[in-house]
Amino acid sequence: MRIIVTSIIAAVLLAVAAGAALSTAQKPVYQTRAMPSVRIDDPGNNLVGADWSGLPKATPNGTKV
Amino acid sequence: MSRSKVVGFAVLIVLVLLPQSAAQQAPDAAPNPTAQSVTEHELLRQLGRIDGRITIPDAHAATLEQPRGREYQAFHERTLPWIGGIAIIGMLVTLTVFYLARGPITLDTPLTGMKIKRFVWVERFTHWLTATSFIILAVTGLNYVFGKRLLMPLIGPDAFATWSQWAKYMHNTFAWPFMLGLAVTIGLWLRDNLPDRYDLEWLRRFGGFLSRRHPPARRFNAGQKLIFWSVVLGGLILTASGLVMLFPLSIGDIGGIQTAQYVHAVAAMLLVAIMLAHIYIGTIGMQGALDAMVSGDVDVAWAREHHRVWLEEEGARTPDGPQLGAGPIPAE
Repeated sequence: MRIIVTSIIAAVLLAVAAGAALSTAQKPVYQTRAMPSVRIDDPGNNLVGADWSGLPKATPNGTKV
Repeated sequence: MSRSKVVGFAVLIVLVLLPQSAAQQAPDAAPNPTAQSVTEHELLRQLGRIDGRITIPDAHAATLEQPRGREYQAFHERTLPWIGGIAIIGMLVTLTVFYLARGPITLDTPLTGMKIKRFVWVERFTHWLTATSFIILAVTGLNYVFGKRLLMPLIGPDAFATWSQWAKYMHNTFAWPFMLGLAVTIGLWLRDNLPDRYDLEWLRRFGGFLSRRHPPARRFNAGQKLIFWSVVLGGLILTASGLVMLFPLSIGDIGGIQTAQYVHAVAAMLLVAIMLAHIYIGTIGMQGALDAMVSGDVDVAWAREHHRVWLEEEGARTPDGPQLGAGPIPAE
């Protein structure tokens, strides 16, 4: 049974290492495709905004927009 | 009627009917300036897709219309679930029927208590590394196809979206230990999985699973070799097509990604079904099979029934009997 646990831990460690390597090798599309004349916004900061729920948002003075 | 009169009559008819025909095509009698131009449908039929002219550097954005996208969507949403469902559920039904009809494959002779080393540490480690990665890849991969149909109604869209995002990360990262395990697997077991003279007899007698008389086999019987080559060929296909998707547009255009997804998805479905059979026979389907890959040791009686030639070869290799000695074997 020890060999199975060891293998699972090794698989997780390798996957984490691969994820770290991939994150340095790959970039989001809004970075790779953006040019000086073409701006592609971060999906978390686009027209919709970070909140995609569609629910009314409360402002600091208590009103909802 | 003379021949010249016949020709003249025909010309007259043509002259009378032609304007009517033209008037029928254009009731307002105005010429249609685009009547002879190439239509969008003809362009698609000739070229396969329609590209435009753009000024931004990303040339991929110039693709305006590509029917292959619709074909891919139809494949992903309709054909692929059927392929996966038939392959996986079909295999589960087959294994269930086999288990109910045949039961687990037990030994005909009692255990001897003598152990023989079947798999060394690096072999077992590689097997479980590959198996762990494959199971995670299978679960997260099947989520792409069946998740929104089977899982989302149970856990809701928010939880399903969060799970699917993590499943995507896991699929992309656990692919690497799988590829590593696959490469080492090929190096470790390729030689023992080459065809030999016992394979045809083993296949002809279906491994003795039905007759309860096991045909002779070397280290791996023909059934195990089929599993091995399925993993090797399927794994290599999944690796190649997966790399195309991990690094999109590095090879080919959007059509290349879609082709990779066709290949990847179908190969994965078939390999999942085959692995279900492997898991069955390695656990509840055969007495003593799991011990070989957990402890690495098997009873000599098990080896004699399932891999008689291999046992004889191992005995011949160690005439003093360290492989066949009674009691626990030394630590590796």
